[in-house]
Amino acid sequence: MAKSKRLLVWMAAALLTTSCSLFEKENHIHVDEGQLYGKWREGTTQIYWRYVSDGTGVTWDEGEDISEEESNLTYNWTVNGDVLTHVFTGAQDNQAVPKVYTITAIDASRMEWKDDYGMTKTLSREE
Amino acid sequence: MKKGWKIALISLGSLLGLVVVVAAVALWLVFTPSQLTKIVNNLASRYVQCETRFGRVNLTLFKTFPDAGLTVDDVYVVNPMAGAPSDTVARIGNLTVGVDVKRYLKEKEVVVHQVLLDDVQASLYIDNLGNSNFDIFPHSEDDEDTVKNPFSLDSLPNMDLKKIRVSDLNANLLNEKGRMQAVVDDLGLTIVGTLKEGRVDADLDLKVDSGKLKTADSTGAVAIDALLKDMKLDLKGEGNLDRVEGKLKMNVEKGQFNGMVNEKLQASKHDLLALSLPFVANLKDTMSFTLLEDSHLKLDEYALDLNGDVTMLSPMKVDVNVSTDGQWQVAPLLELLPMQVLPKGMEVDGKLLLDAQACGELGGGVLPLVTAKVGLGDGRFYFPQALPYKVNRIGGDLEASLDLSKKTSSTVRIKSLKAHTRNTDVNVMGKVDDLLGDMHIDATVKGHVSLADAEPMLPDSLPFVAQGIADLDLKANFRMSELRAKAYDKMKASGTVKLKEIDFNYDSIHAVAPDLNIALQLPAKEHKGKMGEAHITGSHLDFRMGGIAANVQRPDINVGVNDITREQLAAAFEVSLERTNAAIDSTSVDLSALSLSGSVRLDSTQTNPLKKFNPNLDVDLRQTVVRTNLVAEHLYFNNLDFHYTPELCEIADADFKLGNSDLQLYGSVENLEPWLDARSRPNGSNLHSGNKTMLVGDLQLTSNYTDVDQIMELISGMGSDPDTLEQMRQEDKVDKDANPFIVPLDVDFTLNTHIKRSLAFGNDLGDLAGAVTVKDGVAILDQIGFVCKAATMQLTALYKSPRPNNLFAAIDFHLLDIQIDELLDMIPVVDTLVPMLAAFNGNANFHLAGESYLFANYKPKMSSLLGSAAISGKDLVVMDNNSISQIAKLMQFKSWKDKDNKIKIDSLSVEMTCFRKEIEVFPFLLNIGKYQLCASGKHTLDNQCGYHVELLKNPLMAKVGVDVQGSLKSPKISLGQVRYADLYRPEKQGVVEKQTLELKKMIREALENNVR
Repeated sequence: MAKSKRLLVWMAAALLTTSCSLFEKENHIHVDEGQLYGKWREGTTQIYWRYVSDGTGVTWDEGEDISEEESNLTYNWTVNGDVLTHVFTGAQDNQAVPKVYTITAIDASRMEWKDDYGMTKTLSREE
Repeated sequence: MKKGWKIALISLGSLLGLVVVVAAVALWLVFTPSQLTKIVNNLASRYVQCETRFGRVNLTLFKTFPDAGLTVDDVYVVNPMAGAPSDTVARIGNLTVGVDVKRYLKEKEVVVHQVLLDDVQASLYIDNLGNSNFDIFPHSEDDEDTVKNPFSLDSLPNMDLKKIRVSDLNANLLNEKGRMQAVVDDLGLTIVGTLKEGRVDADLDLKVDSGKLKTADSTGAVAIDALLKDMKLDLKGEGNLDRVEGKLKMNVEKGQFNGMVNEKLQASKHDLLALSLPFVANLKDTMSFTLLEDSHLKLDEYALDLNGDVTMLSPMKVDVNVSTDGQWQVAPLLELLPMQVLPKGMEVDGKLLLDAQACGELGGGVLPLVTAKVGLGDGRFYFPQALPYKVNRIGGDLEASLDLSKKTSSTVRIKSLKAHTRNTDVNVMGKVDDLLGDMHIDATVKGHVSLADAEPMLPDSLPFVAQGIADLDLKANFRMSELRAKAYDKMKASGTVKLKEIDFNYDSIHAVAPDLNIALQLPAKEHKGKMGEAHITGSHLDFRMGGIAANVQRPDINVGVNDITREQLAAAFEVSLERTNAAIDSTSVDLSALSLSGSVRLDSTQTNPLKKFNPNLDVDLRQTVVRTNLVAEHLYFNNLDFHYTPELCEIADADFKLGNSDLQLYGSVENLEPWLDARSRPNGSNLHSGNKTMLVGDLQLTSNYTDVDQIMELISGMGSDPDTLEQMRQEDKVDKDANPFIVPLDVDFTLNTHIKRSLAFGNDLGDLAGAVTVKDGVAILDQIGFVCKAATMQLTALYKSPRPNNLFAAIDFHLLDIQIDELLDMIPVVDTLVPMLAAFNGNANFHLAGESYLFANYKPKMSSLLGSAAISGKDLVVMDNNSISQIAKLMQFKSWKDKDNKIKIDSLSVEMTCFRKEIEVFPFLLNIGKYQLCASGKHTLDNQCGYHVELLKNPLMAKVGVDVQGSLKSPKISLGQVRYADLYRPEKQGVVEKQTLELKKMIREALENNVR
């Protein structure tokens, strides 16, 4: 009896989790990398992101008294469709820290992205 | 009766007077003036071969009594000769000749007893061929002999001359052959003696009011130009005029002799010259005089005993022995010398005994060679150019050889020469060559010297002040020119100096010692190529130089110096010290033994001690304690052995303790001097030709125990300017309590370490080995391997401190085969990064890389945090955990625990990253019994999470996803979408799956590539 009950639960859970994916649909946008070039500000913080046309970039937080020149958070970035991938190598070039976001909206002054776990960020263009 | 005698005597007298009158009248009648004139003319024509004229001739008895006298007035001797200033050789106002009457009456022979001449004017001349105008007497039969001997006493009549007197003689002589000219005024002459058969035996008493004597040498230059006045001559002679023996006494009250009589001598109250000269004169050929024993000469008040030969023919030659008659006072004597024999400004006095020989030519600027034995007593010397004070009690015994013409070297052999000045006594023995030129001194000096007295003798470039006594025993060989020119490298000297109660100041050097023994050698023997060397030993020495102070027991210093002028001083030395206390500014050193050798080269333009002295050192230090403000703890050196040059410091062995740590160090440090030079620049710039000047070190460090935490605290900020650091702290608004470690600047040090046991960041570490690098504000632990809690570890860490409130740290950390619970215990932050790790038990490999800026209190600046980690393990056990139990319950896990009621995991491979506050765990697979799970997710450092767990394999073959969201402490767990069904099924992988796995691989490889 217990075994039947457990089987029933499993089947229900499997059906539920599978059906979620079957019926879930997302709208994807296409982002041209040129749209990212420049300096962006993260929300109302003093965290900035800079995307350079050569595929490099840097982010820094002036709120913690770190300048763009001092920042250790340099990265290589690519955009594929709406997927924006950053790979940070660290100041000693001994790491590979990928940060992948899905761009959900972008225009000349504003950009939104989210990660796989639903965390979102809004950035506004500074330069 | 009486009356009768009286009458008889009167009668007898009258009778005698009558007889005399009768005889005189008879003579007058017989020898009339005309008859006498006839007789004189006959005699003149017989004995004189030139024209003679006579005035009145009379007989006299009274003037020549008892001889019969013949007086002639106005005698003229005329003998014209080409070149002679006058035809008249002589004019005699009155000539009286006394003749022996008895001989004439008995034997009809005219024998002259007396010749008296008054009012004589003579003009004598000798031409270039030697012919004279006074060659008026008959010649011998031999013509050839006549030429050679124009005059001979043999030709004169047989005379028994008892008196010759000349008064008021004025004569001049011009001798062209002998280049001599003489003038005599108012000469009075008395000769008492005989001229018999051509031989003279006479006493001559001569007085001359004034006279001139002028001679020339063979070149025509003036040899003698003498003006004589009030001259007296007392001559006793015998023989003929070719060879005269006699004794000359002559006093010259005033005069001049070729400029040799100076004003001081002329003004003297004493006679200029007094002579008492027994002699033999050869007047025929060489005009030479041999001075016999007992010859005596007195110049002014200085009397000399003389003997020897003097040749008057030009050039005048002397070979004379001279000795002082008693002691001479030197100072007034020197004033009388015709030339300045002493350097200007030099004062010399004393009592002199002289025994000398003069040999050589004299005149025409030529002076004879003089050898002399000199005894000097009660002397004094003052020459302010050399010594600012007087030297007295000078006594000496010297032998000199002088060439006053300076054609050859003059020398003095000093048997003994003693002197005293102030508190100093010196005794010199030796030899001085080239006395009148550049004196060459080869002498031994023994003395008892007050150093204060010696100061003025040193060069201006050695301005030292000293108190104390020096007992000298020195030998020196040098020239005065070398001494004056300070050419010490050309001088030779050796000996010992024993110093007592020394208090010495030179420049910034101050030394005090109860006793020091110094052995000197110039030039150096042991220090090849050095100018001089000194070996200094003593019982105790207090020494200060600038900020350096030292108290030294039993110093043993051997130093070689190649130039003691201050700007270029260079020295090589070996120093051995025992039990020494020293202080350099705020640093003090106590040592039990020091062996130091090397060299220094002084550059006084520099202020930095290393730049100023340019040391090249070999140092061996034993049992030494160093206290310095630079380091809070004392340094205890058991041994320090290093070689230092301005370019390189090579540490052969440094065995020391610093705080809790024992350290053994060897290796090299470069660029210390340029580094110090750069730091001393006023603007603080450390750029040289655009490059930064770095202190470079490559050292090997071994240690039984090292307290890294303490050492970091001790050396924090070393190399940074304190003022600049404080200014930076203020600008960065650093909390006062925060005291971050500031990595030394301008330093490039690599420390290859092997430490058996270490305390670092609160952890006990073992077998720590690797390189520690400090480079221009950046500290790096490069692949340090060590063992901690039985795990093998490798750590690469970087720390830099560009600003006190903006520190930067990065680590690359690998733990192999470590117990997970010990990992979390050792590095608690791992639990923050990977919370689920606490749920596992077992051994794992752990790779971690992370970096972040830090605040001054070492708190991370989270916005700069970047990290990645990879954990892999096998046969792990899942500890009881509420969240996992919830998930298991939700997934209906019933058989995932084994018989021990433990959840075992076959393998685990997790990659995760940290970016700012966000920690991301990339999908990883767990095989637990019959179940296969895949998990991934994120959580933030403020404990918010979004994890996803999927059941990929179970007995029912169903796929189930669970989402864990919300607070980590109480997450909300719910069923979620299946995402990773195909992640580990290659045949089913899509783009997303492949990218996910690629990212995992990239993270892990980047980490594992750093494992050594």
